[in-house]
Amino acid sequence: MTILQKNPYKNRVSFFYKQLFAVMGINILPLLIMSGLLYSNFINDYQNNLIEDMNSKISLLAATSRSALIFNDNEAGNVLLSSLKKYKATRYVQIYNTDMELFAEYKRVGQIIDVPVEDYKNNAFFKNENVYLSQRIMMGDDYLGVIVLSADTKSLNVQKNNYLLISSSVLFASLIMAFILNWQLQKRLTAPILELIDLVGYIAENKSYHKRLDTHRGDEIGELILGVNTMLDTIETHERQLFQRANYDELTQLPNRHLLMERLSHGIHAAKRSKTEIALLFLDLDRFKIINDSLGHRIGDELLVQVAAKLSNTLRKSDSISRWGGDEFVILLENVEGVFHIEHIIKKIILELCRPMVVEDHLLHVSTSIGVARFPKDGKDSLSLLKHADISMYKAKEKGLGKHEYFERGMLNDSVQRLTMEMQVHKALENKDFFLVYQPQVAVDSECIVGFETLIRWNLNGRFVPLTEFLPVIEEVGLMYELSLWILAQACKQNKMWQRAGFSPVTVAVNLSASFIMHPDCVENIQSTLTDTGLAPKYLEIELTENTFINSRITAVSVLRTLQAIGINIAIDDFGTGYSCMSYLKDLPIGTLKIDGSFITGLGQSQANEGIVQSIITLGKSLDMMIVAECVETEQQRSILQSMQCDIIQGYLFSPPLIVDDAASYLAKYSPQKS
Amino acid sequence: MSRGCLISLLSLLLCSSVNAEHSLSKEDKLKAAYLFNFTKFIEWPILAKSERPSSIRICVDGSSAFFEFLEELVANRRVGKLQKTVEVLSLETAGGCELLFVREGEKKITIQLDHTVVVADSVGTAFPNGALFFYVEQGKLRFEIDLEKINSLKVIVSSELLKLARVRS
Repeated sequence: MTILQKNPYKNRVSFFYKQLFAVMGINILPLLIMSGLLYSNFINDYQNNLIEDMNSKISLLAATSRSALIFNDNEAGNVLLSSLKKYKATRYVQIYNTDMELFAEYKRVGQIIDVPVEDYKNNAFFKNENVYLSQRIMMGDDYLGVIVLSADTKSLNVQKNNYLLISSSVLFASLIMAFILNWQLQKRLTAPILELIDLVGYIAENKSYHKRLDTHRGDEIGELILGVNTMLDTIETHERQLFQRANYDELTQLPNRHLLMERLSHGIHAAKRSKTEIALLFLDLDRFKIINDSLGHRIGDELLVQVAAKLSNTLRKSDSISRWGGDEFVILLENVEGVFHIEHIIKKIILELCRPMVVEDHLLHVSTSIGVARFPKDGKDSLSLLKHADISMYKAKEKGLGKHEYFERGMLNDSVQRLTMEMQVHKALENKDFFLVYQPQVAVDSECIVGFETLIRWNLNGRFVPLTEFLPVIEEVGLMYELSLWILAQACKQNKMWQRAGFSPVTVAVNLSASFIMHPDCVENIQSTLTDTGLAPKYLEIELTENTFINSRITAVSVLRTLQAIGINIAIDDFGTGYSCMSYLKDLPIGTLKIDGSFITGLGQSQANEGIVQSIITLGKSLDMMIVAECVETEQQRSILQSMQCDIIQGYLFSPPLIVDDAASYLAKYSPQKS
Repeated sequence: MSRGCLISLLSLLLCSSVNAEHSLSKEDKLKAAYLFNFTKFIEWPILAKSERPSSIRICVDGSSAFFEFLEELVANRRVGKLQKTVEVLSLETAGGCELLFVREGEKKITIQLDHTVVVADSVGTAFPNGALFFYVEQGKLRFEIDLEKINSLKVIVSSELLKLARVRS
């Protein structure tokens, strides 16, 4: 999460004004110097002009007063000097003869002679805001006298003030103009930078990267803007990718659990407001693990993609489908109008998923178990709804393939029990709390034992846990393969021990799950078990259910052919209850058919039942298979089966499943007589 | 600089080195000084054309003390742009002169008066060619100028002289 950094220096002078003041400062300095120089130059010029003007006047007077001096005509001299009367700056002007006696004078009223003639210097000088000049009066080489002049400098002061005013005005006007021009210039220069700052601020605040700046500039700022735009493109792309990765499943492109939780939360709020119902469907593909383990993840992934596509096509656009993880999908239905609505959708889903899917030449059959939790009935928040839908799904799974279940409060206890069982199963496997029992299989005709079916038992704190309780848990938690290997090893080892003990050799049948057969290491592990235990393959029988072939017949056939080639007998357990077609019987290397116990139980009770059993036996015989009837409990059943030419019988009529020692005793007692 | 010390007429008049001092009145002395000063403000273009070195000639009655006084006054003096020397000549012997001083009742002038500026002793002097005339006003010696006459002469009179003179109507 991006955090908008606070600038501790904010609210100080902005960059714009800093730059403006800096430039203004730089501008003001030369302007001040220029104005000062201009003023000083003006004053000097005026002062020089004033002196020059006075000099020219005094020179003229000196020239024109020579004759008056020569002819001693001081009146003419006075008249001459009084010509300066009209120059108001003139304070006084005097002519002294060679004896420094006053010859002629003009003095403005109120003025006093403040500098004696002896104090005059060769050059003009200023004193008391007056200017003083003197000049010698010459006639050729003859010195006739001296003329002195004093003028006030009021005009100079006035000019100084004028020049000061002009300079100040020019300076002020220049400053104003410089300010306006610089302001405009700065505004023009900083405008794109301010736009960039705004953009960055907007991005930091809104976390939105869609905005761009237009630029047609070819300078560095243009490059900067282009760079920022490019950077934003990259960020936006990354953001989009991140959003996609954070919210969507990479494989199926469906929303992931994160997005689902958001939508669910939003949906709950909306449902609260509109007082409507929502339903959460928790889907788990049945038998997906087998496919994944046997055919590989690539096939499994492709299957998930196809399932996702099917779900998407089946549901409305307003319904939200997400991949929760693995083979689990969650569907959020909003504005649910009733159970019929949910049922309708579930049926559509189950129907659609029932159709086989082709993945890389494999014809795959999947089904899904669905758990349903509804808002507000089954939970008020996202987490409880999800949990309850999940629990319902497990409950549905317990019912079998392709089932669905609505949440009920009672399931919570079951769920706790299930969790407890999961932990106990793990513990049991570690502690080897499981043990095997062996149910004898007896030849119908001779009533001699020909083999044992190995069955697993779990004694949990003195209670035998039913197979239907813990086997699905073992399958779900992924321990089935490990457990199957253990059973296989135990059974082979025990059978070999009996053989070594001198008992007549019999087969030992082990039930293996479809996931075990589909496991890539299946054949290798079976072989190594046989090698390790030293049991001959012909004394091992592997029992499978018809469902083993539903998901991938090709793989199953391949594995079974290999096992048959080794010498292991293959038996189909619970025959007659599966979904698959009969045609596989002729393609598969099956040596034994085991008629499902439900048919046997019904023997002697209905003609139809006997017909089915007879048909199975006939079918098996025609394919040269051994026929085993299980769950035989009565003599009548045995008799019927014998009459039907069933080969082997297994059931309580002869013996229940026996622990090792009892099995050994049974074996000792009912072994065929060695010839 | 002692030459320039002529200056003021007063100092000149007080100069004890002049022999004729005692025989001349203050007015005559002033007139002699004025005659010399006139040469400073009047130019004779003809003198500039002359090839030989020439001087400004002032003709006065040769027998008088005035002559001597004036002669002493102008001795070794140079005037004007051309820095001509000033020469005092006797009326009787002079062949020509630039400045001629005449008094009432003096001998008849025989010299040629083409460019000669005639200075009359007083405004009453009956001399037909007078251009400048001395007169006394409020105890001060002044002079009058006959512009028509002086303009008819081939001389240039400085405006400074004209400025001090009374113009004869």
